[in-house]
Amino acid sequence: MTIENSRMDGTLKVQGLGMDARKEAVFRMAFRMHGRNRYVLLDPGEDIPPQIAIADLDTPEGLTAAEAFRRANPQIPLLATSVSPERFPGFAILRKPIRMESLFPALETVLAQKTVVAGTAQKLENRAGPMHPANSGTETRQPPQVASGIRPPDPDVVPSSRATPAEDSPPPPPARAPVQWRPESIIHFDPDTGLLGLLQRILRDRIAAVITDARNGQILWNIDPEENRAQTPLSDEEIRTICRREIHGLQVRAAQSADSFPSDGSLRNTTLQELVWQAAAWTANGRLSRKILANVPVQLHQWPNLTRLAPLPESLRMAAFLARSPASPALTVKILQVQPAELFNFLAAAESLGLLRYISVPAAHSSSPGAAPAPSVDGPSPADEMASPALAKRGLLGRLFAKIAGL
Amino acid sequence: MREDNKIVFTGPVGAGKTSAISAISDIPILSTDARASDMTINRKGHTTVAMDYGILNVGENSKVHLYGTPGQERFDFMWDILTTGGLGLVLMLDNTRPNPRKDMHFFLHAFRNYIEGVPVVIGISKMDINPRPSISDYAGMLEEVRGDLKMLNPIPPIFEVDGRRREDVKNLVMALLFSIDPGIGAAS
Repeated sequence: MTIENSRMDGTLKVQGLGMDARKEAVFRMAFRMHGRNRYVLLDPGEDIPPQIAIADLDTPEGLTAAEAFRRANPQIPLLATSVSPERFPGFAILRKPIRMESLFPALETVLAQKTVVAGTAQKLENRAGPMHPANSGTETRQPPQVASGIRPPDPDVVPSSRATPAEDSPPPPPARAPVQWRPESIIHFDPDTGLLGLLQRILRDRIAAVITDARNGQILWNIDPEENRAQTPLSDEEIRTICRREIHGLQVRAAQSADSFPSDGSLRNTTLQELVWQAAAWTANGRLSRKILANVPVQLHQWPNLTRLAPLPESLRMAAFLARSPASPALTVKILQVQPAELFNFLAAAESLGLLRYISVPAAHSSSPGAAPAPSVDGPSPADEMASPALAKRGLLGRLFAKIAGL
Repeated sequence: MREDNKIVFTGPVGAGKTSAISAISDIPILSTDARASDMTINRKGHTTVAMDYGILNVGENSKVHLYGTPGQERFDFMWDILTTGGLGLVLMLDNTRPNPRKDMHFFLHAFRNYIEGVPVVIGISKMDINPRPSISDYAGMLEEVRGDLKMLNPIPPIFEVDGRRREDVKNLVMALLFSIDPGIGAAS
């Protein structure tokens, strides 16, 4: 049987040798994923002549099975796999771990060469490009395809600046006016006052406490930092109102065993982190914390647990940007084109949970809030890092993003 | 279609990889589950012994493949077959396992070459059953674990997740995409 004949039905039958069901399943799945040739791994006992065999020489029975197969079927090519190719001279060997990028070229090479020359295995080894030559311990794994944050241009990812219409490309979003950064309109707030200040004190001191209404002593929150638990009879709207009023009228004291809520209302339980995060965003209300300067870089040293915190607009995007490298609020707004109020709310929330670190910069950079963005002192500029990926990837990534967001 | 549009889900047995892929895949996932054996049987009756596979269709001609690795550590030699190219790694950790730090160390090092070029996101499951370690604890562990790694995103998202909740998995994958490019999806 020739290879050409064997491909008449469009499939290439592959026999596994020395593999258990798990390894066969991996190959079966890999073949299913491969689009160009339809490789099909034969089931054990299936009485169909294969066009190629794959042997795992690292199992006790693998070498025996491979040698027996080769004696019985000298015309059928065999690709062996092993973690130590040098132990098996005489086989065309693919070194483990097996990679998609080397598996299929190796199969093709073995198939092609067996068709042309029914020669020795050694000749096959020497000519098989992606395979590891026997007697060579040198691993020729290809370097990662992406060695940095900037990928090489991807044919499936058309840079947006020179994109051509594609059948599956959604229409581009309507252009929107750039977000204006107006430092003179920034309003600051003090995060150490009011409900937010009390909550942060409780978070810091880690002592069970209650927050009461200063007018009548009524308990509004019962908080246990060790258990990360906050209990309140208040609705979101009532909490938001407390966060935004000028005179807060709240007091905090250590919790006592006799503390209890009025029995006529329902109580809500949240984590303390959830409460602090939400209170910070509501307190900020589009204002910038006075601890953060508009032109001084900040960085997230840890992402907020965004699956369990109140969603804030663009929080995933801003978190990704600020975890990547330090950036000032001014630069963040300019690059991400997020509304300053959204950024300020996010920064207040992240700051309240202690997730920000502040990057000191020379005085010349930090003294003029309206000046050009301060450069990062800790690695490449976010603008530099953003530029290439943003241009090169918005094709596929943009479609994938739209898909995920719409699920 | 290119083969390197992949997201790989990895993590120990029972962390929710299969559920996570199911939550967002456009097709019923192709799974190679089998009856669990030896150490795995105490945690799950069935487990993934080869891999799971799902698809996200992102247009008529584009797909993103979703691969779930087997959770059993002894199959790590096959994992590279999954990680050629790709968009990123989703590491799912089970908070009820005896040593999550060891799990984090194992899986990040198993994929050490891969994560030099693609971002990682970490989902912690079963925190409702066992709230400790906390997310902050994991962030601290990561600082120790990543000492000899060259991660593309050394400060990765660490989210509490339930692999059965689509919203959680969506957030995890969107965090992955934003980690590649925070500018995607932005109107400009």
